[in-house]
Amino acid sequence: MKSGRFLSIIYSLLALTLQAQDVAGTERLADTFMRRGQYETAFKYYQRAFFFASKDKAPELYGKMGESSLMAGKYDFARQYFHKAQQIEQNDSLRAEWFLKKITAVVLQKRFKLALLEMLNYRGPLLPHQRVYAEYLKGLSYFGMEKFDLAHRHFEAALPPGDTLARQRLDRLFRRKNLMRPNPATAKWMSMFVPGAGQIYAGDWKNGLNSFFLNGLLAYLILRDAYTYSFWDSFAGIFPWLQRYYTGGYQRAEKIAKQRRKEKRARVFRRTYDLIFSSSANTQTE
Amino acid sequence: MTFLLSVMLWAQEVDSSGPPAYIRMTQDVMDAPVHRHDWSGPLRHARNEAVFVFGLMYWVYKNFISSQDIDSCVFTPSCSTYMILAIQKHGVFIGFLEGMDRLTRCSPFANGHYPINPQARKYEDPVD
Repeated sequence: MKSGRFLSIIYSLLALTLQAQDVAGTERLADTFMRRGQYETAFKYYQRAFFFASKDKAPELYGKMGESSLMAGKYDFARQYFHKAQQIEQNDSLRAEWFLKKITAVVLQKRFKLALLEMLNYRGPLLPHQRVYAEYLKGLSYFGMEKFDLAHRHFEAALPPGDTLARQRLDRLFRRKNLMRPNPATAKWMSMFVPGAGQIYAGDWKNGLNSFFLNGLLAYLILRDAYTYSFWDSFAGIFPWLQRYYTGGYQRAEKIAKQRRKEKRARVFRRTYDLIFSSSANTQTE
Repeated sequence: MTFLLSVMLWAQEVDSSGPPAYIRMTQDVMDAPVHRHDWSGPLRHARNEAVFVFGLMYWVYKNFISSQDIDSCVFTPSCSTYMILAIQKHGVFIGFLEGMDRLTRCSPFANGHYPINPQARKYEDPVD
């Protein structure tokens, strides 16, 4: 009985130390989850903070909900939250920040035309580091739309003005690599004329030789059967096989060329990204 | 104890060197992931010599013949993969018969008899 009374006193005293979680505390907790890479949990806490926060905190919390959605890969949500933050933000530089993050979400959805349209319509002021990122985003949008000359121009504008070495490297990267090649249509037509030629043109020797010898063997069998038996025998027996592998060959040549071209563009883009963001002047972008 | 907890939390935190994370995300936007198939599984996991021989035939077929063909099989897994899976599961004799049975069923008339796999956009017919 005595111990029960004692425990109830202790617990009552402990209760005095407890306090409700306030908005700032919830936001801090969400920030911690963000730093730890738990973006979905962070989003829930930002939502909770938003529910209880005053109106003046709304742009920041919308932005943070956008950031957590962006990092969680929910680009559509991210775009919507950044847009809301941009609409109600009073501070110019923060408005530009939310705008650029919104465009990031659009670019990550590979909606390059929309991203470019928004970028070209934006009339607000930009801080120097935001201008660098804006030029990079424009370059990226043009790159995604296969307008490589314009992409080159904007990537160049994103480089620090004094960094001539990076500029030369970028020039070399865009001038040496023909980003329109290998052309899938050319590869397809080449394989139509000589089976395997399109694959070799696209740089896939193994598949090219494979297709050449397989189609060659089937063509030889058609001729041999036509000579040994009759034309109709060979036409009915082996021609369907040749037709399959011949068609498969040129379809594959087109696919291989598409894939190789994508890989080449990805390599050039990665190197461009490295050039822009490894430049000492551009590393401090936030 | 507090120090240990702080170190653990610090270790969990996302790397923040270089440009901010949202900018780093854009470097992968042009990536073209390559889906390379490895057909050597049945070879490596053959439980006897007969299954190994079928595994070898499957490997040669997939690498040098099927890879040049049009995509004509209506099922997922494809008929060749079905046969090798059936051989691995039920042995050479029964597996081979099941594979031949699948080949007879592989035609446009399969429509309506099998569920559709939305990812492969083919009829679903796994080995029982």
